[in-house]
Amino acid sequence: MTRDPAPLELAPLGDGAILITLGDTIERAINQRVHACVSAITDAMIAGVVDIVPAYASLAVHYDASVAEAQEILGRLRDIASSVAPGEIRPESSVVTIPVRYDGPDLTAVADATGLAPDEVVARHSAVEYFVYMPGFAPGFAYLGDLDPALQLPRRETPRTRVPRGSVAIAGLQTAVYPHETPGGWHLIGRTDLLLFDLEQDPPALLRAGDRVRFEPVA
Amino acid sequence: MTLTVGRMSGFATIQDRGRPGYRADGVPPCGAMDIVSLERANALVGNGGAAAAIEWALAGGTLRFSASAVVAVTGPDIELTRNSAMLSTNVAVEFGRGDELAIGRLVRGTYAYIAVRGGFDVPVVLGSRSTYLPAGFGGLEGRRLRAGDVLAIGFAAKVRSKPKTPRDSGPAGGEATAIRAVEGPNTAAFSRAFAKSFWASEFTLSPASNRTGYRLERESDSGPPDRSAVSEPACVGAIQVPDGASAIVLMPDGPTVGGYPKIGVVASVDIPALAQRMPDDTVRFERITVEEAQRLLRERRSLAGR
Repeated sequence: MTRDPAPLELAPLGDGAILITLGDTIERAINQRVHACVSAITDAMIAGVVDIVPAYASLAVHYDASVAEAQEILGRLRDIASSVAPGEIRPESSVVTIPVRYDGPDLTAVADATGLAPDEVVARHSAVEYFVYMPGFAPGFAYLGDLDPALQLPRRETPRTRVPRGSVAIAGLQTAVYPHETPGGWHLIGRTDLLLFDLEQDPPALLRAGDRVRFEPVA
Repeated sequence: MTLTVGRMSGFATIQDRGRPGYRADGVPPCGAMDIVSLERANALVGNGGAAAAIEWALAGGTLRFSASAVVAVTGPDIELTRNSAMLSTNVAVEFGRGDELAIGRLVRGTYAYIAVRGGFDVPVVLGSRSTYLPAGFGGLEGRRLRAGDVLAIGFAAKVRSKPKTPRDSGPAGGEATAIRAVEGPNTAAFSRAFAKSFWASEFTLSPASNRTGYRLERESDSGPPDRSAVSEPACVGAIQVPDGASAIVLMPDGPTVGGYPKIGVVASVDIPALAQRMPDDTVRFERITVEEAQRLLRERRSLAGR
């Protein structure tokens, strides 16, 4: 008896990218398979590939259409992705510790909405080792999960037009740090001085897909 | 040698052909909205393809040169003067020390490109001189140009021995021309009726359009598409459909991932023509295959000599 093969769909994303879809939910196991595909495709060093971008349950391979043709690159990617075992985990990722002052403007509102004391919100937020599911939204922004379900809240009804750089925020089962001052609709519970996006570093983003992250309360 | 910004009522930034390679860090490819006009401007003054130019949107402003320079301005239709005398676009022109270039109205089109032989000498950030405003890096201090700014002209840029007149790589695309697009990838999110009406629709370009995305609106009683999918990677040209009556086409500064379903992706070869559309212009799409889109792109690149 053979197991059903894990879902795998490949389709052109316009004339310069291929979208590889491995599922349609936010789940750690699917996301780890995404990262395993990223590693395998990176290692294959395919001519013309310029960017490999992981998301929750899918990834995109951007390529130069003057070097590779759609069907040819789609075939190569199908071979590589189908040989990545579903349970495969990316080689050891790094653990990043982010020091946080838990004095965000929404800390009290989050405590009220969840029925927890502010100290308990901080304790629950900093107790978990998070996982980087996906980069995006802005340079250096990383979607981290999974948040303690007791802290789960929908986004703010009215997004802020300006969220300060370094704000530590939560929404749904996710948490993140805003690398730049941008508009944003998440609940701000703290702030860090750590640079999440540093042009002096290569790569410039501190948090990379598949990394593990801890938040450490500081005074 | 330098160039000083005098008056500035337009919206100008330094742009080159962009910074692919950093999408996994959340950095979009950036770069010129109309790569064809940028390349033509660089070719006219004898610059290599990697040189940076000024991308100028909206009307009005002046630039003054500290020493003699070879300058070309490209874009659909712009009012230009040198020391108050009318000047043509799409030709290389010698400017003397103290001469002033005035950029007037963009009669037709949204982006003009001003290239100077030697290119603009701003720092290369993540492989490019392009300004990325949302995160404030690249170009001149990561921001738009303003009155009083002084821009250094480079010597280091690869300069061709003699200016080259680029062959015309086709029309910039008037309003009547359809914007070609490849269907998908989220075909399943749209009913057949929705897709049929979408591809047959005439859209109007909203003034709420910028380097991040172009917003298109249409008359429609279609309901929203299925939005059950989780966020997935996006790309320049992606036609995102948030609801039944609008679409957002991602442009060079657009996000690397997105949550709206994508009914299609504008062919790379037609991004410049779309970029030059003006608010309230009509936009229609024409579906082509991915193979056709890639063939058209290669054709344009060989005409441009790269």
